[in-house]
Amino acid sequence: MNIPALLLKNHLRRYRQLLSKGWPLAAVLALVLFIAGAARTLVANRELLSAYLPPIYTGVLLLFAGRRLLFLRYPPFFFSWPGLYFFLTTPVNHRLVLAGKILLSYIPLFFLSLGWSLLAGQAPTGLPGGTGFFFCLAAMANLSWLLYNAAAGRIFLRKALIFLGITALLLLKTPAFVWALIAAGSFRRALASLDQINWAKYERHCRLAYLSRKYLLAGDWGGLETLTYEYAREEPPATSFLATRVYVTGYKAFLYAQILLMSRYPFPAWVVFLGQYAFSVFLMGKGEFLPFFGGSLLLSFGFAGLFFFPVQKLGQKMAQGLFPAGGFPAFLTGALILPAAVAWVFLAAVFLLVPVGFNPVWAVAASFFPAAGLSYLTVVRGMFQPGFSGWFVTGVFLCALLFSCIHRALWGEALGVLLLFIPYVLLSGRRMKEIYERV
Amino acid sequence: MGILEVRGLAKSFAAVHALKGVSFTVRSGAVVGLIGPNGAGKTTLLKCILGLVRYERGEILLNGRPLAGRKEMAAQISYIPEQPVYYEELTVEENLSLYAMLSGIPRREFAEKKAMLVDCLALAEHLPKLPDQLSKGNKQKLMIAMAFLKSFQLLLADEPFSGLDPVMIRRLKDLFLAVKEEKKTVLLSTHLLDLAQTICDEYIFLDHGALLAAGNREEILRAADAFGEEEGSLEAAYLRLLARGEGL
Repeated sequence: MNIPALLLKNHLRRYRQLLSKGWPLAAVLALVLFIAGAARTLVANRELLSAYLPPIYTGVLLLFAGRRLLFLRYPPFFFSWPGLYFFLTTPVNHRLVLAGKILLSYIPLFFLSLGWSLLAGQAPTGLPGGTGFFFCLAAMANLSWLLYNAAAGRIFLRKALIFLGITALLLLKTPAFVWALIAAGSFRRALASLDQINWAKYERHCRLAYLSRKYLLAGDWGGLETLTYEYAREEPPATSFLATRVYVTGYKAFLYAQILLMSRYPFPAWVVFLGQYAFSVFLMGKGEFLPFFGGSLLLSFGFAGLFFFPVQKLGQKMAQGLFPAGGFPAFLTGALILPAAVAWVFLAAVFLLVPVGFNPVWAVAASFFPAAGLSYLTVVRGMFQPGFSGWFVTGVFLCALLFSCIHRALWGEALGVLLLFIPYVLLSGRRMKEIYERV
Repeated sequence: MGILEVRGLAKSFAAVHALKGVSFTVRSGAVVGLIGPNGAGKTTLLKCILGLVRYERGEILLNGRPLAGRKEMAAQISYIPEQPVYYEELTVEENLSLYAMLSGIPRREFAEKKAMLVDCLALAEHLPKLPDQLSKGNKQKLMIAMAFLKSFQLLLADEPFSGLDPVMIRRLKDLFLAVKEEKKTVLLSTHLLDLAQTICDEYIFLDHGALLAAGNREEILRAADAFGEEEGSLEAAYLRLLARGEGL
């Protein structure tokens, strides 16, 4: 077997485990279809397209440039960790391999440019086509690689100057050939500076990327947390999304652990939850106080139940000595994202289904009191304490109701809900911390 | 002239001085022990030689001249890393094949070397297994086999005995001695002085990034003023050097 065949074999075997699960692929497919559907509607409207494309074009490229050149602390492409070891310790043609690696990293940029090309072709905007877009992205990727390996001295100044230069070129609507020249020049420079690469830093980041993906595919939350601990010691964790990549460490590790644990729920559990949800909506849709009250109570219980298990599992892990590396903030952030996302989706449907005109004061009362009551039981009464994730969920539920009231009711009533909501959130935060520390 | 010359090598990680102007020469065809406690700077030094860590000051010469580039380095130096690194989804045999192909070893030579190493390191039954199914010691043996597959002038071994049982330690020592007979050089990083004494011709003692002493046994004893102590024990000299180093 030759070298490419062995490397391909390694890749295929690596992703075999993920492919066998099926559900992530189904989710990705559903997302792609949804986006394609939404994009189709947008593309059909030429006037809208002509109006929105120019700011989107500049905005996306500026965001890309800012992230790549100013904030991102990681390289634009990676070797796998073993790949890097084999690359560095064998007398291969290093320049050729590096060139191949850089060119392969352009593949996503190519597809982005293809998408842009198709979009820009639908309406007259006067913007550069797919070729210009591609070379612009490639130039930024190359420059970010050069900056990644640059010596530390005056690095912020160099980053800022390059970013300003790129911004000026973008605003001046630079033609495609200029971007092509910059991309080619920076590519050549990247290859020429092979011996200036900061291998120690690069190896550390390749290892992080490799191991976090490995643990993710293996569903190894403990491994992810260990990795977070290890890297938090070497470099402070990035707080901004602009500076991070998709590494599943810190709060993302807990978020992933939640998804993983919930994906293992038996099918009947989902049927029960969806049934509960449908029945809640049915009750709330009656437009009367008592059914609305009962429906919101049922819905609160449904959400709390759904997110009960991951937090209970975390409690068990923590009792065994495994604490989330990021501490309480990472735990809280990781624990909030998924319930928030799920609650928003389901509540959006509730607000669509429940008839408009229902007295918002009753809606607030009927939703707040079951949610607060459940939270009270969760925190104060021992029997509900392990499921304190319900505390977050009900908070999110209230937040969603607040926005609903702003939308549907008078500002005075919305303010009323806000006044109820602020102490609720503050007390929740304190209470959650107490519970976290007690576990 | 030594095969490897290190002159005034200095490297810092933030406020930590990992190497403080280290200088020494490694004689060709010797097994040299790089000895020091944990955190002495041994791995950093090896990575500087491999070109994996940028150093602030100093010079590293191989055969009297700086390494021209990564390819030349990879062609002349072989490396046993402290932590096993391998393709997890390829079997032990596939990992060895891939490494050999990337190293440009002809098929026949690979077959011969593989047979010898597999026999010596008792890897035969593990060849069809994935590395993650192996014990720590067997993973280490895979790394040793990969390092010995390649032709090299200088072998850098970072804690190569880690996880090996006594039989395998014996066999690995035999491999190092065979390398020495071929007039090749081994720079062996370890904190196990007892083990190093059974195989090394020369020693480089490091602590807190500083060179404590370098040379053969007599030179080390002289440097430590340890003649006559416990029959001129290298261990006593090492401890004395370490104690002296505290005041550095």
